[in-house]
Amino acid sequence: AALGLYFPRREYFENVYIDEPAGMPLLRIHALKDSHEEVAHFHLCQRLIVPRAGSRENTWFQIREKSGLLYLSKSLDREDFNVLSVGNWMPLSKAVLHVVLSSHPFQEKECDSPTRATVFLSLINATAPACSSLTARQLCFTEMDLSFHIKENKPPGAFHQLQLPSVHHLCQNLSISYKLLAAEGVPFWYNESTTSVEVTQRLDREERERYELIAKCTVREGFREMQVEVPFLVSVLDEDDSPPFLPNGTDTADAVVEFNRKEGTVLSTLTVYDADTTPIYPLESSRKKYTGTIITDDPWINETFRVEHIFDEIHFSPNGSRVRGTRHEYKLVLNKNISVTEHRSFQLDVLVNDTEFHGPERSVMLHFNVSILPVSIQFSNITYQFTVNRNAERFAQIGKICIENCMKFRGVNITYKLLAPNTSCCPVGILQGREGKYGTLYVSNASVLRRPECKEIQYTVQATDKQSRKHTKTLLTVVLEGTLLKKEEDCPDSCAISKHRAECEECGGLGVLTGRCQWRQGSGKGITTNYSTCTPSIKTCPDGICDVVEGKDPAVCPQDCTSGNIIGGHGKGIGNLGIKSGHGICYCFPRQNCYCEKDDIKEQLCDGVCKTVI
Amino acid sequence: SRRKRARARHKPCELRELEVSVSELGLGYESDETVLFRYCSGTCEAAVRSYDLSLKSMRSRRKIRKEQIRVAYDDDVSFLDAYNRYYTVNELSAKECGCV
Repeated sequence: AALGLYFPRREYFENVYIDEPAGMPLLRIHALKDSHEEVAHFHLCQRLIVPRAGSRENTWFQIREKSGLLYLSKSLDREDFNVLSVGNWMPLSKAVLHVVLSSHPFQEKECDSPTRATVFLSLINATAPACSSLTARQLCFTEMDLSFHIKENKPPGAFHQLQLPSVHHLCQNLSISYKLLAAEGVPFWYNESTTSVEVTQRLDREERERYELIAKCTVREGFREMQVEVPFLVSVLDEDDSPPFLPNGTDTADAVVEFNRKEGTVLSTLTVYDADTTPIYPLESSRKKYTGTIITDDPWINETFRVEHIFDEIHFSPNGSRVRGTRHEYKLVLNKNISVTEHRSFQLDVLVNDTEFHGPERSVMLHFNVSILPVSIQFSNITYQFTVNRNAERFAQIGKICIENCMKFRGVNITYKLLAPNTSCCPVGILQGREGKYGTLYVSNASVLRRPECKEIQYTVQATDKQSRKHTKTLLTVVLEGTLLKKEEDCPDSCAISKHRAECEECGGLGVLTGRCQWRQGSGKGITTNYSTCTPSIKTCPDGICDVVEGKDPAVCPQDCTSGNIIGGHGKGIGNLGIKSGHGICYCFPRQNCYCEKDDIKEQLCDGVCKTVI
Repeated sequence: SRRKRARARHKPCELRELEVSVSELGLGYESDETVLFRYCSGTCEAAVRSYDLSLKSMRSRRKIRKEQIRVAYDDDVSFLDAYNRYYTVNELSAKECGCV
């Protein structure tokens, strides 16, 4: 069984001077109990640890088994002092002792208890100072903060002695008295006869977590009176004594699966509160203590859904004082992609269990009303018609093909295919958009566009759902229009090479829709996303996304797709692809470098020239 | 002072350095941080080859001095701009100089 006894504080400090007499009391350690019947036995571990110098056999210090009083069993002389501080280069020698607790007299000297109190003794290379040379603060309290931890739901008892045993022993001509300053109704009491502070009733953390009191000390020496006040803090430690409960009584939520059928989708969330705290570390063990289990014997449900549990701290205010509690969230999550043909409705129950709570109401049942709706793979009632300029170049983007609700889909993979007509006029192709949502039509063969016999081309588009093999078709008409422009000579194949508006707009390049590149005039100052550049189509390039068509050839839109060097002031795009922002004009030599620079050569030239003339 | 300028022109190619603010680099970055800008400067008269003399003769009307100097670049320079974004500029400074 777990030991009910515990230390209300884990660390104690005291000074030990040379030549203090044997029997000299040093400090008093307290233990609190689990039940009234329990008796605390204190035991001092045999090894005395000298930090950075290893351990020594303890022959100087002892503890009274019943009262917890630590005292000197042997005077510490200069030689002892040297033994203890050998190898300890610190100016102040320290010795560390451990104290363990047991509810029965110690049989063997067991010292591996996880609940140990540590006593830090400062060994001072001098005799004890005269009482008259000590300040009130030194006479009344040690340097350590008065702060304690008391477990909730435990019987009352004394947990700290205010009087310092060593001072009391040495300075008997001084009158030192204590008082505990506390608000009305605080469950702590100062017992003047023992100079101990006692907790007078069982504490409830869910009611109040922290008590802030003041310990006041008065020292009288003849007519002189000195007073010191120090804070005295008590924190209440939590145990699992509250059952889970539902905020507003909500135990049911709807969970609808329609367009979003992707694995990992959170369908619905239900919340459970608990007035107890839950440590965030270690996370996994805290999760295991508060389980959420799907109650079903249907293997399909078990395979298709999972419950994810997250928790965080919230605050309750039962009677004005804020105490911490826990909000547990149980999320119903898809465990795999669901086919578009699936159609079911059912109630899914999740049992939440507070495994450490020992009471009848340790669990709550959550209900999810799950509806899985089928989605149809069909084109809305339209036939597509696109017009393409005869001067368009290869990789010009004509338009998008999309089945009904395609942009809402997640976890559904649609492939689009063009079924070729019975002619040799086949200028366009289709490429799969991101995430299998839509298809992009683009010019795949520019020379066909220029052929006069090709005017209007009929295609059939087929969309297929990969998982269910369901498919649908619609008609697509591509109309060629416009008269052929005379081609400029010496034009590069990429619009992005052009550095100036004039050369940009008189040339064509890969991806242009009407035979000419377009100039985007930036207006921003500094490094801006709206930089000046020459592009095949302002709509698609640069838009910060290297789409499938642009990705086919680095000359189409290096502004979105380059992974090479960018020279000059710039910011890179997502995944280090493309130029997200640039300084002045950005231009690129595809497959090589991109440059961003301010086009202010004219101004500078003028300035320079003017100065030389003068 | 004319003679002084003439003498200065004969300084051979070498690495020099200047402490400048990032904004002064003219790359568009706005930042008050200072960077050490190392550059190559000087003449390359001692590196003239027959090729250069011939080229000069062929374009005798115009006086050409082949002054293409600069050899290796220094490490990357990183800085924080006025909008709390980090940037890294590579090949900003020269590390070694020579006549090419």
